[in-house]
Amino acid sequence: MWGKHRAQDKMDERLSAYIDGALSPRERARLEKQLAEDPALRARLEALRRTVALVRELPPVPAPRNFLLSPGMVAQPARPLSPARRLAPALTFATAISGILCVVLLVANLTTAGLVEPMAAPVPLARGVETTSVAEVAMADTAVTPEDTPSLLRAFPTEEAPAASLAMPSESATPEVPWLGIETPSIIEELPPGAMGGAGGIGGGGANWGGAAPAGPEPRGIEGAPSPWPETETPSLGIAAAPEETIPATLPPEAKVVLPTPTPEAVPISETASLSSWLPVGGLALLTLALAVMTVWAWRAR
Amino acid sequence: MDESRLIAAARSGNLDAFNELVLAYQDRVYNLAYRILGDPASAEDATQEAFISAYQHLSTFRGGSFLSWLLRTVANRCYDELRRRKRRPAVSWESFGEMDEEANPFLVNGHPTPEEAAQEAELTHLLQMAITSLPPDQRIVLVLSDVEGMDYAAIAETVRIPVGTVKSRLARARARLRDFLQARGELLPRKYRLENED
Repeated sequence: MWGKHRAQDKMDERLSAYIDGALSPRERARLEKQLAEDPALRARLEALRRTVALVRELPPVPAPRNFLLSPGMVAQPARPLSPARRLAPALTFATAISGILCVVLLVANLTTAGLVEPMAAPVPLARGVETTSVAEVAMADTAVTPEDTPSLLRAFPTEEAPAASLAMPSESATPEVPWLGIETPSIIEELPPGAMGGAGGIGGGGANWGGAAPAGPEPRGIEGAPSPWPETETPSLGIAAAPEETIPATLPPEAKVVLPTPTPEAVPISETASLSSWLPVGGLALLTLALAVMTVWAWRAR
Repeated sequence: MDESRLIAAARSGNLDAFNELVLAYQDRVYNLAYRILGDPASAEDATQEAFISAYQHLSTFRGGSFLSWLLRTVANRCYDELRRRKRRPAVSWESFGEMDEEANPFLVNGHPTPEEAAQEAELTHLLQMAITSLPPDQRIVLVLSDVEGMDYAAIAETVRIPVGTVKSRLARARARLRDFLQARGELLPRKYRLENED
């Protein structure tokens, strides 16, 4: 059915061109041969020819009036631009700026995300080591049973904690137990802000404390170079991690002074930070989209 | 009429010179608009707009036939109008049966005999209905070819389509027109019927 219609259309096209004398000599000869053999095709051609003749014989319609131009008709009054259209260039500029900022921020975030992730890892590791050392110290002091230790470790659910626990010899921590909680508060307070932050803090002075463990897997930190602080202060870092019930009742009341303890909810700092760093990008992208829509609308306004 | 002198004067802002060109070509321009659009009011609007546009864009005329350039301008106006109508159709089929008298030159100018005038008017009316029933792209090509007598190359230049497309659109338009008239054969005067009834 479709093929038949298509063939008829093709034939009509040839017949139409034949009427206009627009066929090549070869095509014309072939068509004339077909016409000679096919009366239906001849009738088709004749009907088409008469149709064209009827249209060509249509009488011209005279203009009903004169179309003379007056100066007022051809004057091109300067059309005042609508307020939206006047804003269009500024909106275009704002869209471009917003888009560029969005891209720059996106690239910066992607780049820093790649750099920050490995650097962020030591923070929980350092805490884990501190916790572990306290746990072991507590175990050595019999105030904490081996069954209690996992609960302490759970306070900082880091994967590095068990490894650090294994790497740190318990005998190095054991002697300092009596000092737990006595000197620590004052020492901690004397430390500069950020000194607790990681390997560059307490361990930066050459003595590689528990907090410096991530800097190297070997446990030489505790047994190595002399510390600027007395070694007895070492476990004081772990007090912060030790729950109150793990401290022996025989300890002085000062031992119960607990330093600000990172809660388990506070651990995914890097996640929170990365989420907050993506917020501006999303906001800027939305702003760019809104500006682009407004720009298109402003340019199309007349 | 010195066409090139008038064009040069109009280009320099002489509106009187341009109006001489308007008087010379307004019938042809209006006729094309009327055949394409099918109603006198729209044809008048298209003609007036075409002349205004031609005057304002006279600097774009690069020589050649000024009439062809004018016809191209009005054809484009008509094409825009047809596209607008396609988006918002407002003219019904029945309205074509109420064409203005001035659209029929036989009724305006008179004819040898009333009977022949009536037959011619009937035929003209039916043909205009048939042309108006064509899709816009086919209609413009048909009018430019068979009413204005343009060749394929000129039509291709006017409508800005390839010559091959002109050929196929023209063939389809003529075939549709033939089918339209054959279907309404009894409406045509006997001497204009497309099929032999013997």
